[in-house]
Amino acid sequence: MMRSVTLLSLTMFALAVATGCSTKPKRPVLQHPQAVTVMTYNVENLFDTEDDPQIEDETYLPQERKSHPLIMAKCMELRQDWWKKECLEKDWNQKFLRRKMQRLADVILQVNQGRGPDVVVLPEVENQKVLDQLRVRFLQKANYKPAILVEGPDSRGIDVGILTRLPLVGAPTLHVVQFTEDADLGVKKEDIHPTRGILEATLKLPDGQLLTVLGIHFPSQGSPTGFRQQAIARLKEVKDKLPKDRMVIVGGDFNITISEDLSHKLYSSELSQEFGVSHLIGCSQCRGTHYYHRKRSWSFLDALLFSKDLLPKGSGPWKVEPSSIFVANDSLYQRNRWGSPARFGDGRRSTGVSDHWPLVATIVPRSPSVLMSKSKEKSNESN
Amino acid sequence: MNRINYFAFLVGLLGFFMSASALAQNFSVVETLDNGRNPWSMSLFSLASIEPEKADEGGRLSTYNYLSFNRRLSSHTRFAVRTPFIYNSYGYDRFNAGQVQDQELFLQDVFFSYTDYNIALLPGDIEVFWEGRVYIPTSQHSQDTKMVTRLRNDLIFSKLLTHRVQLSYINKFNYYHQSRTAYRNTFIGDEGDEITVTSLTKRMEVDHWLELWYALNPETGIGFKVGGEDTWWNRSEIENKEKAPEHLLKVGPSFRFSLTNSMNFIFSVDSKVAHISDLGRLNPEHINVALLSFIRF
Repeated sequence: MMRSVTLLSLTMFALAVATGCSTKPKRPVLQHPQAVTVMTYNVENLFDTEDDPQIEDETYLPQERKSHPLIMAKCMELRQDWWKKECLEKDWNQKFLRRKMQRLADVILQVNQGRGPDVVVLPEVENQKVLDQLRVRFLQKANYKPAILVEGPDSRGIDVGILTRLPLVGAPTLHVVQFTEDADLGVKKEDIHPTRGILEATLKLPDGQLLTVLGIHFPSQGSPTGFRQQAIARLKEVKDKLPKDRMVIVGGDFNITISEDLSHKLYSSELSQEFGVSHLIGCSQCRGTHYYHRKRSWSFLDALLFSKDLLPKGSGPWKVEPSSIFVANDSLYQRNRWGSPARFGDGRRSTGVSDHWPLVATIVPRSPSVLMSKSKEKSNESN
Repeated sequence: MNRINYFAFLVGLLGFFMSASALAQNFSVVETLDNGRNPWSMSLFSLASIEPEKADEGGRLSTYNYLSFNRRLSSHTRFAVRTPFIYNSYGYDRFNAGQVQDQELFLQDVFFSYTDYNIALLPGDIEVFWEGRVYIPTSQHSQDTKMVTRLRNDLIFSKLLTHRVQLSYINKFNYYHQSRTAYRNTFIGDEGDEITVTSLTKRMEVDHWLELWYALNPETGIGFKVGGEDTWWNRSEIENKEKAPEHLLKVGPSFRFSLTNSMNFIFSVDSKVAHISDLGRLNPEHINVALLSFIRF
């Protein structure tokens, strides 16, 4: 009997290893000397360990500071019980911040043979200082220029930041997203709070062409769809004010769930009118960037949008490669035991970094012959 | 009660106690911390084992179980009071000269437990789990041996090697605080007669092993362990008696699976031998088959 049990165990082990090896999805490999890789990655509450009285950052302070009456009082003012509890109990000191940043760096550097993407849009960063700490102390291999971040009015105190190796042209701009009461859209006056703005940064591509990156973080699912619809309208306004021939990539956390997109077609119609949406033009094998445990569903809360001239059939000098679009989740820190994004939590476990997975895409120069033929087509049409 | 009835009894017991279960944390080879809203919870642990060579010949099913009353103290710590009991079915076993034994149910030592599920994260992302236990001598055996208390220290060091592979080192150390070094021990001899001898009390035990787990999917995994069990006894000056420490080696495969978020099981087959040369022989008398069950309410 024991020999049978042993043989069965060894057979199961061999089968398991064989199965495990064969189910790993193949990562797209794009070889191009001038390829530019873009990533969007919601880093889930990257806060420093210092108190900023202007924002609600009391949750992210060292435990020894939380006994201060002022801090405790601010924690007790928080709206939800779980948030109150987290605010009072979470120990956010330098040790945990370093651990968080080390893990974020591991995630970011998993692409481009350990160099990280050329451009990365990072929602949920407290301030430029903490983003530069991440850049300088943990992302040296990426050789990024100083962080791009303009602080906005969000009451939680989080903003969108950008790290890039590409030169910045001009100064970055933050476009405030202002909501207006609209009964039809379900936007009520009492629900309107200051939120994250749209960060605009124009970068110079290797061939001198200009690319404008818009970093966004739309209101969460705690707000009705109308808020995200108004945010989309604002995004389109910002994009329309840019030069007509400007290539634009929008990256960030849109907070649009799969069910919301099915019912309101925010990705599939509203945004697709003006952009190519990453998971609609590529990434067909991807399940999503966020998993909602309660509903057991995957969504692309995070996306990269490409202006029409960047699409394969577009006329811009650069184009996105749909086959290059993928969700990066190879870091050991990224997956919990169910295979979905692992939150950083209290930072005591060996896994856990963010409740989102990053989305990556690559753009490449369009070949000169293609550019020429497109240019001829345009001049024929105008004649 | 035969083996089928035992499992029916266990299912019935579970049905009686089970209510809405909270979400569990990550699957682990040990009990996991329930981080639901209610800091109070109950759980059931069962270790059922059988000697395989007698499994089909009236071999005895032996189970060690405890009901645990838990209070979560923080996101990673818990205090518990546990009431263990042993149930052995009717049948033969290796003890008591292979005689048929009646079924029996008796209380073991109640113990208090403090657990820190993430007491440290060592360099190299090695997680450390720690549990300390203090046992009260409520069992008949502890009272017969006049044990004062037993202290137990569990440490588990775990490291994820890949998304699917985890390596763990488990160390369970027991220290027996005894009031005497020897006691009168009565058992049934080969002839079926009652024999009383003087036995030495235990001083300490270490059960430790290295285990490699491969996750087939979130609910199941297979593992293999290599380790040892070491026991030391007290020396009795009055009885002029001493016993050499016992050192056993053990190896064997395991299979873990979960039926729900609150019910995890580990099925294992261990070969325990005194000499390394016996390890590969797979003699039935060295083999133990066990099922560990963790159920949270």
